[in-house]
Formats: sequence, structure tokens, C-alpha cells
Amino acid sequence: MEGTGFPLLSALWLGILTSISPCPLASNIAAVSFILKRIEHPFQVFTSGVLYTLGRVVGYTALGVLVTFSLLSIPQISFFLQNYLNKLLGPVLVITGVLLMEIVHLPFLTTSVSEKTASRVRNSGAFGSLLLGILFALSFCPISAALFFGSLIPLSLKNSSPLMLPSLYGVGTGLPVLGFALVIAFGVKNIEKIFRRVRALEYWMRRLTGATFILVGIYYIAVHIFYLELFT
Amino acid sequence: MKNRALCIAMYMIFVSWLMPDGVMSESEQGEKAAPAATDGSHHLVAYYFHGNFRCTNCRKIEEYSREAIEKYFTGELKTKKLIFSIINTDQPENKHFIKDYQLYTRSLIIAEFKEGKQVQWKNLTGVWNHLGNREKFYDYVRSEIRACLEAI
Repeated sequence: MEGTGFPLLSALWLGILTSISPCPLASNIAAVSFILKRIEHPFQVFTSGVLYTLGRVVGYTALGVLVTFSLLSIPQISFFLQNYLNKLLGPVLVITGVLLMEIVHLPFLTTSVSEKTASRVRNSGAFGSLLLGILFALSFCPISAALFFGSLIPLSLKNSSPLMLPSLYGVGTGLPVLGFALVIAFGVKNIEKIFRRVRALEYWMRRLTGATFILVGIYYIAVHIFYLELFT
Repeated sequence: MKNRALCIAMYMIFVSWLMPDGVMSESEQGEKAAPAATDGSHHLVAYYFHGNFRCTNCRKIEEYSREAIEKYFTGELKTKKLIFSIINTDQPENKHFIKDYQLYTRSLIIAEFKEGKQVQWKNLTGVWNHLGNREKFYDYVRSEIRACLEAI
């Protein structure tokens, strides 16, 4: 089947399978809430969705290249990412959520630096989405590790495709969030007009995103640091 | 006050993050240590490898594997021709299994031991493909183990 569209479709399908498995559900919720932060600007929602997916593509492709050319050992990198990145993700999401909600200043920074950081997080649109995509892509859980390292990498090696197949896998994993962004951007008519009337909504949407990040962050801390068994 | 609370929360998170793996792990009740395999017998060991983080599918693989082995290999389990062992690779003493069996996720491995030495092993990667159908999962595990036992 080499040379046909079969490996390409397989890579995309593996990505879709990853995205609909229970493990990445929490990260998908956080990603959707992040791109909805600027709901009053449908085009920004759309670009955020595209950049989030691009971030996932970048993450998986970089990792795919590194393991395909044996620059990283699959067992070591897989367990490292599963064990440590997920542990880091919880606190990062909580801190980002706190900054988005403007609850407190970061205690380890001066007020001006803290405010500057908070402002950057609040206004981080495109770059924030890209970064979030990379971070969520690399936060492997057992099922995504099985699909990526156990199915996609062998497929890439077999077809000598260290770039294209991991990229398509990344697109597949981002499809639910991208689909949501498309629906918001093009499916809701006159959304700009509606939100122009209620400017205060931007403020509340940001707070809602912050609250979602804090909840998802607490979930990650509970599951990956304290090993509580909650909807895993 | 709020800043202090946040500071304490962040400190706790940081400290817990630095905790060695295994300290916070669930009770290991029911888990068997890896067989020493130093006797002169010729036998198989079915290892299920998991970590501290237990996902629904990971639990399902463990449950289905145990059920399939207990259902179809009762005699072999009694005579120790087949041993089922559940190992937490996040425990420091078990980390070597990751390298030994090239693990990248939760896995079911069948290893053949002869006179105390490991002869060969196989990763039953298909367990992830049969999670949606318990009977197919059983059939897959049964046929793989049966083939290994017949080769002994």
C-alpha cells in the first residue's frame, strides 16, 4: 500500500482516535475554552483553532523526527513525557488560570513584572494557542503513547515518512478543537454584532477560560501528582 | 493573604512534583513481585506493566488479561508453567523493565524463561486494539500464550 493514500489516512485516523479517547478530554476542554477567550472576534477564534492544531503538528513532528532518526530512545522519552510533562501541566494550567482571572499577583514577582506577565497571558492569542498545542501534544497519556509510539512511529518508519505522517497525526488530534473553532467562526451568524452590544462579555469570557484552566489544572494535579482515579 | 495562600499552594505542588515516583502510589495489594526465575524450570511469565497513573483503558487491559489467563490457563498457573505478574514500572526497583522490554506504555509482555535465564519475549501490542471486545481480547491473549506454551 506504500505510495498510496493509505498511510496518510491511517496517520490521520490514528490522530482522530487519540483525540476522542478519554485521556485527552481534559486538555481538549482547556483548549476550547482558551480559543473561546476572544469569542467576540470570530476570526481570532478561527486563527486560534488553526494555530492550536499547528502547535500539535509541530510537537508531534519534532518528536517524530527525533525518534525516527534515533536521536531519542522511544522508551525513555515516552515515559519521561508521560511522567513529568503531565505533572508540570497541572501547575502551569492553574497559574495561567489565576492570571487569566486576575485573582492575585504572582507572589514571586514584583507588581509591575507580575502585571506585565498577567497582561501577556490575557492577551496571548495566536502565540498562546500555538504553545498550548505543543504542550498538550507532548503531554502523553498511556493510550496516546500507545497510538503514537506503537502505531504511528512504526508506520512512519515503514513508509520513510518522518515528517508527513506525524504532521497528519497532529492534524487528526487537533480536529475536535479545530472543528469547534470553525463552527464558532463561521457557523454563528452576526456574532460580532451581538457581542459588540455586550462588551462586558469579553471580561467574563476571560474569567470563564481562567476558571476552566484552574479546574483542568487541579484535575491534572489530582490525577498525575496525587494519583487519584478521577475519570481517567 | 491571597498571595500567601497561593504561595503555599505552589510550594506544595512543587514539593509533590519532586517526590520520588512510587511514594504517592496506590496500595500495591494483590500485586506480585517479578518471579526470580532462578530455578531450573522452563516456563512463561506474563507481565502486565503499569505506572502510578491508572487510566480506565489501562485497568481494562489488566482486568481482561487476568481474566483470560485465569480462564484458559488454570492448569498451567497451578503447575507454574505460566506465571502472571503485575509490575509498577514507576517503582524505582522496576524501572529497568522499561529498558529490558522497550516499553513505551502500559503493556502485556510474554517472556520465556529456561533454567533461570530469559530466552525470548514478546510484547502483545494487540491488547490495545481489542479493548472494545472482551471476547476478542480473550481470544488474542489465549492464542498468543498458547503458541508460546506449545513452543516450550
